[in-house]
Amino acid sequence: MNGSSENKWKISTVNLDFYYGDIHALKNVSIDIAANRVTAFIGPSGCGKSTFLKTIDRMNDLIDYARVEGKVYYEGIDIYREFDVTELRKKIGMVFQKPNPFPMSVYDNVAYGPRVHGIRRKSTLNEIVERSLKRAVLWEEVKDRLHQPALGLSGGQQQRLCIARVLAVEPDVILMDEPTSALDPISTAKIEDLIYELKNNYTIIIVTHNMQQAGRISHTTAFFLVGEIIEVGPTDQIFLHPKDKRTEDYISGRFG
Amino acid sequence: MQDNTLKVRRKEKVAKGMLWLASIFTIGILIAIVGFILFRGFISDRREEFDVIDRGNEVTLMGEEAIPVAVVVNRKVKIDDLTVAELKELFMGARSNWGLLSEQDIDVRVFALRRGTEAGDAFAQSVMGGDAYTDDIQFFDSDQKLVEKVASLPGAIGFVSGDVLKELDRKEVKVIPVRSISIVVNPEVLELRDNRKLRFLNEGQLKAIFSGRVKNWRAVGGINLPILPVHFSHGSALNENFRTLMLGENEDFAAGSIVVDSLSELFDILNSTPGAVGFCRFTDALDFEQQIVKIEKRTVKQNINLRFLLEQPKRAGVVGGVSTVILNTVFMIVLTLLFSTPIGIMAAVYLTEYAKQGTLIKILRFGTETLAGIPSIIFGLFGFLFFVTLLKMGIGLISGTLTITMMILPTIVRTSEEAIKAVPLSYREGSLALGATQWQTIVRSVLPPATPGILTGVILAIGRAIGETAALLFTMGTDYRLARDLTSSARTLSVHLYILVKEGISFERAFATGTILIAVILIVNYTTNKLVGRMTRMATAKG
Repeated sequence: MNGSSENKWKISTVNLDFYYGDIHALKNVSIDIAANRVTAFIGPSGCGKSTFLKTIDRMNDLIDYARVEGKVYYEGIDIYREFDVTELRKKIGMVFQKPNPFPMSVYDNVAYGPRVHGIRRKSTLNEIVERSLKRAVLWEEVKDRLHQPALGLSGGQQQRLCIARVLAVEPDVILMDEPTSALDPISTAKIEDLIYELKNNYTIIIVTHNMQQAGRISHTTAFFLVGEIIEVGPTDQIFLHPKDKRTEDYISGRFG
Repeated sequence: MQDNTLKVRRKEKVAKGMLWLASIFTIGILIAIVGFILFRGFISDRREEFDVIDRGNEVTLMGEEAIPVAVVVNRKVKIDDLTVAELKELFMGARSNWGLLSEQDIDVRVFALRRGTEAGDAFAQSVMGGDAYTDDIQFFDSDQKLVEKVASLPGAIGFVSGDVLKELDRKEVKVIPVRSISIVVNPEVLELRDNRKLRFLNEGQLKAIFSGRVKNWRAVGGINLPILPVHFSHGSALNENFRTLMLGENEDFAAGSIVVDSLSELFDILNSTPGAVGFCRFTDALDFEQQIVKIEKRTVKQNINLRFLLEQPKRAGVVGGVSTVILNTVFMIVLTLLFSTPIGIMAAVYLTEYAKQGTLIKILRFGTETLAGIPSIIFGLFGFLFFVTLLKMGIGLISGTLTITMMILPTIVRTSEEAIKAVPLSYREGSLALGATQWQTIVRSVLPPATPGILTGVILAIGRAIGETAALLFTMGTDYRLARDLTSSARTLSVHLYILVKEGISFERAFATGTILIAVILIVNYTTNKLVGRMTRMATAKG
């Protein structure tokens, strides 16, 4: 829990405080996220995990009465003061809890990001779409219906589509906010496998309610409680030998 | 427990019944209004009152010596018959254009046989009654030459001796039946008594009266007085004429009818016998004008036709169609769309996406909502003062369009706002999370799904514009010719309808115009629904 802004950490936060109007949602959060690893945030509902996630790609900017204090660094750069927000979001992608494909065709969904960033040539887009869908392990299932509405896909497929969509802009970091909580067990398993594959090329931060999921796929786990990080460390250690009693209580199911 | 469910179930039944009633009522009113307009738009039902009966003869006996005379017109004139009064008007020069008589824009040209000829004298006596012909008339000595002249000039009318009729080449000219017989009664028949008064008779009633089927004036709308038909003796040509025209070849007059031999005898009887009714030539009845009974003629024929849509209005809309008016309406709609849609949508986007929610927005919203409710005639007044007078744009297409734009802008902004707000936040979030700018997000992922809603709002606003009358009267004018440029005064369909009715020009044409308006609205609504439906299905289709 080093307060430095060294480049070897993909993302670092230093004394991050976040306010929703008068509500102090995040308290003095300082954490370093390693590259090419899966970091899981766990904790009971309302403890601030999703809020924290959104401060990393500045999605909280959308809220009028939100206020950020402290610093967030991406590869050593202060994202709130020295980084263009659209560029930032290109580097840091997000997958939401409820799959939210656009009301367009599968193809157009995946091509949305690249198009927005200026890629126009058909052949390039075709390549990107195919590559992204393959990486999201969705290509085989949709390759014959690329131009049909994305809303016609099943829940699990839609979520993988959203992942493909994020992959299409070639980010460094992928933020996932409870990506499988709205899905059935089989789709969940598929996506967990996918996340495990993706970690080789991307840095992944996943917020999850499901401790078994955190245990299965993450290297590092951070335990949030009422806006503060209580404990952070290698996943095995957190689950098997938690240092803090509160962590132990949560993990053994005594609350949350 | 059971009691309660019964109560609930009864309440449900009552509610359902009321809903049913309301729906049927609404549909009923809609069908009634639209149906009536469409009905009168397609079928014109005109009732006119004349001094002479409905039927006429191709050969009329005129003058004291009963000379047979036939009236001919050029093939181009679309007229079925003429009354003696109308004939006189034409030959006196009181009508220079066929106008309302035949619903054509053709000038009248009159030709007559010279005085000294039998027919010439008879016509002058019977029809003109001693009054002078128009100065523009041309006289002929020979029937043949007259016919040739009439055949060659559109709008020409003339008369020839009845004997010539058989040799006449019907292909050259049209022979027009002349209605010259009037119905005359005893003065008591027309009295007001017990709140009843005979106003007019129609053909069916006349037939019943003279054949004896109806025996009391009360049965045909008059007072309680027995009917006493009077006719001439069987040798009289007029009698035979009337009998064949009114009763038919094989029918005869009523059994108890009084028979007279002369005109003077007829009027003696009429003046002395209560309830008496007879007939005579119109020109002979002129001295006893108060005793002529008005005859109601009813013409039911097709009203709207293709010609109406394709021809321009002429002679103040009396004649012709509405083609230029339709085009003017289209121009107005297109220009209004051009101005109002971009501004309205941009304003809605700004209000929902960019503007900080605060007091200023609240004031703006209040202003917009209030504007949406202001009566359109106030906008018309404002448009007149501001665009027409102050900005010196004059009464024309641009002033009218700008006024209408102001009128419908609040509506478009409001409905667009609603449509944009209805787009799920998740689309915006997804787009922004991919690194899109706010503008890109709006254009690519917010506006497309909002389009059906925006379109519906725009179309509704346009519907209001199409029906606008008062505001356009002040700012766009009433010229029914095709608008030449942005400053031309131009009449739209609603304005045209208003003028047709207000100036009493033609109720039939007003209904026809109304039918076109309804058709336009129906088409616009139908296409919008289809378009919106298709868009919504494409956006949300389940595979």
